[in-house]
Amino acid sequence: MATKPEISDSPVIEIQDFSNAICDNVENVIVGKRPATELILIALLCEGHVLIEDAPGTGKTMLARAVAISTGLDFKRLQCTPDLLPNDVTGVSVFNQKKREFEFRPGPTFCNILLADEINRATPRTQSALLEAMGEGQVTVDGITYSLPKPFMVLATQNPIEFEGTFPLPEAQMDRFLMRLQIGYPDFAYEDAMMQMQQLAHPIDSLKQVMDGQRIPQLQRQVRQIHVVESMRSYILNLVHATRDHPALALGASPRGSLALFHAAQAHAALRGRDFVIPDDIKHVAVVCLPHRLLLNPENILSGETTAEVVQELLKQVEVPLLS
Amino acid sequence: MAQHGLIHQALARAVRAEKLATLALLFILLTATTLGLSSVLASLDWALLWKSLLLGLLTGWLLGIFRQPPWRSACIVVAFGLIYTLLFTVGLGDKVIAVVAEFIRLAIQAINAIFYIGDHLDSSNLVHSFQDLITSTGVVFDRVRVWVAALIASQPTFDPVAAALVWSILIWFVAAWAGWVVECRRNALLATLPVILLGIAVLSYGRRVSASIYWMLATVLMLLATVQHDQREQGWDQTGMAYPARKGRQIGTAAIGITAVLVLLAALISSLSLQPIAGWVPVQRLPEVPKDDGLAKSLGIITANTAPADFSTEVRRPGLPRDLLIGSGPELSEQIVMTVAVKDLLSISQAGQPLPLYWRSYTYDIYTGQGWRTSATQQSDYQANQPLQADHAPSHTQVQQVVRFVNGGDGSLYAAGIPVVINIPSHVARRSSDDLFGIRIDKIDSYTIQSLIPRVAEAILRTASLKYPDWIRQRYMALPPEVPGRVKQLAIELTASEPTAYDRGRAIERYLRKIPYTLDVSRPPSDRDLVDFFLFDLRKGYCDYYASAMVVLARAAGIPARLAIGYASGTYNLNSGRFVVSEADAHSWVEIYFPEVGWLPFEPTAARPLLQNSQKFAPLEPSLSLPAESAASVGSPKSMPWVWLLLLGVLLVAGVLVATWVIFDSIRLRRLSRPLAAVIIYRRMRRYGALLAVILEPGDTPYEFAATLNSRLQELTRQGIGTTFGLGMVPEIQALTDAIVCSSYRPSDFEVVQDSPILQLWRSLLWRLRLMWILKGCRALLKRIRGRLSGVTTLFNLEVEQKE
Repeated sequence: MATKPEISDSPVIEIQDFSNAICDNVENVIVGKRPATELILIALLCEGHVLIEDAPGTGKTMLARAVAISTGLDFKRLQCTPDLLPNDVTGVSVFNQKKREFEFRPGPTFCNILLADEINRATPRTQSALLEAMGEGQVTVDGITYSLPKPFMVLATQNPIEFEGTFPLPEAQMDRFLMRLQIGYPDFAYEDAMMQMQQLAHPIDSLKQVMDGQRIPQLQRQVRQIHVVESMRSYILNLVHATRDHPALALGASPRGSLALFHAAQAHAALRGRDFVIPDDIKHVAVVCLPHRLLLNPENILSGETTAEVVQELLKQVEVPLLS
Repeated sequence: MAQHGLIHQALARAVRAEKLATLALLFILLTATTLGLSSVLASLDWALLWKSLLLGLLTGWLLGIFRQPPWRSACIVVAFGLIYTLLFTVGLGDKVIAVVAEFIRLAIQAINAIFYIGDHLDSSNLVHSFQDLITSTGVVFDRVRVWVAALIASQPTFDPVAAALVWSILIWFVAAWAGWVVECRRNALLATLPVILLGIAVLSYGRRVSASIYWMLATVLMLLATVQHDQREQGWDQTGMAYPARKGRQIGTAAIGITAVLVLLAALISSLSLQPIAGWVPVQRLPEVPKDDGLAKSLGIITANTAPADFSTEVRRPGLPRDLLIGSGPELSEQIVMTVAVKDLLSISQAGQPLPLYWRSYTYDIYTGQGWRTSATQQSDYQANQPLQADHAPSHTQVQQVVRFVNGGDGSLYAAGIPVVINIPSHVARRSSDDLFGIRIDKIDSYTIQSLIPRVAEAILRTASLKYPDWIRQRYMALPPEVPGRVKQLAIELTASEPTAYDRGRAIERYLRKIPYTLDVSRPPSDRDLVDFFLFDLRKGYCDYYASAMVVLARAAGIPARLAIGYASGTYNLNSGRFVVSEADAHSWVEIYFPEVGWLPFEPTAARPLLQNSQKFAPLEPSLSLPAESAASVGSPKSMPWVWLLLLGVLLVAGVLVATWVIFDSIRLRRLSRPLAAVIIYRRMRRYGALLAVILEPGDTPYEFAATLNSRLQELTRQGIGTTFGLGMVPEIQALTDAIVCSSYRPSDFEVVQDSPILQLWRSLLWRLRLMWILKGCRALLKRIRGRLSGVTTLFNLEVEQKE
């Protein structure tokens, strides 16, 4: 028996190769952000959506575009402004004079990867139209339901600093995002490399497709077959229940949160070439999947704590079981 | 998760009807064989053999149930067999308990000493107990060695202790083999082969066809049926074949029927009774004259041709002497019976004290269970001053006594030692030419007698050989079979650790002298053996009881002994220079035979002083000089300083405990399913991590813990601790963690049965982790000492500077 956890299933190899190829390709454009790229791929494999909370200019759009180009998926960018209407998101039925009937003009949601920039600038009505499309994978316009393409992922961004003129996403809606990422500023060396890379031309212009995006639905099905033993399930539940009982939290994670951890851990294990989930997978995805679902108590907010800190603390305290 | 693992699987295997039936049949077989054996074996307690049998069978069977490999099972069986036999059969268990008790007492004292400084530890008791245990064990082994050597040299001796040891171990091995083979190899014939061979061999020596042979036959046949059927059923279960449950019952009935028929045939055709079983063992047709088989004799097997004693002499005293049955108590009176003057008394006395001389009248050799009898005697008449026998004997000195009766005597001659010549006519009754029963004389006022009394140093007695002539063996070492086994067992226990026959006699004497003396005792029940009743129920009595008990115990321990009756010395009157003997001095005592010396009196009665054989006596015969090594060979304990003994004892105990734990632990871990073993190993690894000051969080995953442990090891190596091996551990820890993670979270790993690498990896890591910990501790200690020292030196420097 080999001592390293060996890959025994070829689907896992397939997923790992897929992930490595895309991450390597994206690194031509964005350096030093491989973890973020992997997390986006995890969300893609889990049919989930990502909220990227970051300062402007850190490369959110670039990242989304690079991923889309690498997978050959259809990419659309939606700039959310306060005057954006729901129909601008979903699409609209327009009366065609010649044919004398209404025809549907699909909105930006009819793509594979949608980058909704500054989602907190759109009005709540528009936000809910988008979130509804995210949640259900279909839009209803004038009583007719149109399915969104598969795979479909929304990368919503918001600026954590600005509050003027924004409509912050309500906590209940934050739950619909699988994970919340922060890309952050690059390191000195990486920023230097970036400047050198972009001296003559932007590398994204010469980025090539490396993977067939249409295989993604099949990969998504394969991810769901990753083994999660009973002890790992109880670990996930223990974590989630700990958030519900924590004194600093007013609201803990919901069952949607447990599911999010579950699927994201499976995807993470697959990305690492394993066909079974280990506690490290769960811990890795818990830091991005849990904090945005939690609500601090007012006094803890005032004392400057963040939910991310609470989650880190919980991860240290909740015992990792070896056997259920 | 359910408790998979060792015990669960074993229970599942064990609790099946066929299994238990097999075990029961084996047990019956072994019991039958042992019963048959014990009817042939002279000196053994059947209860002892039975215990050995039961435990041996259970050990072998359990080892089979737990599926231990053959070599390991053999080691365990041998070890346990030896330990059990040594502790319980030859009575070393008490000594071990004494040592442990002393150790505990010393430990408590030590704890007390910590609190109340000033208490000093008294370890001499522990030292003595420990030395006692060591010497006793040494003596037992020595006895066995001597016995085996004698056997090899074709000069067999009967040593009941060695025989008990050998039989106990033999039965243990045979039972364990049967239990293990029946369970592991599922072969009834192979399992019962040693038992059958043993039974037939011994029974054919004894030439006795006992009922146990039929039991053996019946159980072997039933075992064959049961084991075969069990195997067949297991085969059916494996292939998924459906079979009716009543199959077992049908086969069982058929087996019982066939067995009954065969056994009946065997019983009826008695001359063929041994042939069916012993188809492959040639049965020896022994001649009518008992073969002088040394092995049989040394194992104590009584052949069937022991001629019963013939009683047809007029001089016979059934029951106890003095015509009184035990229980009514002799009436003691102060009436003077006789006075005895001993010529040249002082020359045979020591330090001015007169040598105790007992005036013997008769000796008895046959113990009936309720009293004493003598074998047939031949009578002859002697005239006055006609020598009865030669007037010298080795180790004896001649003594002249003048006996004066007050009332004319009772017709018996009283004298100390071996009568040589009497100045009146006498009627002598002898059992054989060397064996005097007693002498009758006419009623007379006084007579003068020369006799030979034994006068020999203890050292010489200790060198006496154990080769007894046949007439001694036949008469003075025989016990009736009705003597209970526990009496024989007591004899073995008392004498197991005594190196020589003389010491064994003294040991029995010492033991009996501790029993309180009283004349107020009840009559023993007529269905109980007298000595057994005295030793275990009554536990008090007077001289007749003591003497009977000592003779029986001595014979059971392999020492020829006989009962002597007469009068004790009486009081020595300084004025008249005579011993004054009254009715109260009527007495019975014991004489033990030593080759080349003769009969020596022993005094087991608590109320009377010992008959000392002083070492101050010079040897009479210059030829009987002390062999050089005999004094040294009397197990003198080496006088080690107590510290080393204590340390040795602690190390031994610790070593045994550690070895036992290691063996059991590795067995347990190996048998556990992988996830369970992984959990245990991981927990241990974390414990060692904690020892090495790794920060542990409950929320650590195995990989995280491995990473912190590795970084800690690297840190320690940088500090200089474990530089040679520290870094090599890092990849191994990684590999072990990989294995643990796979075993715990990878479902396909759970059912894999092959040997897990977890245990091997852990074993090799364990010692290095321990070493790291020890080195770290040493370094911390050194640092602290250095810190203290430097603190002290700076202090001094300061002072010096100040002075200057």
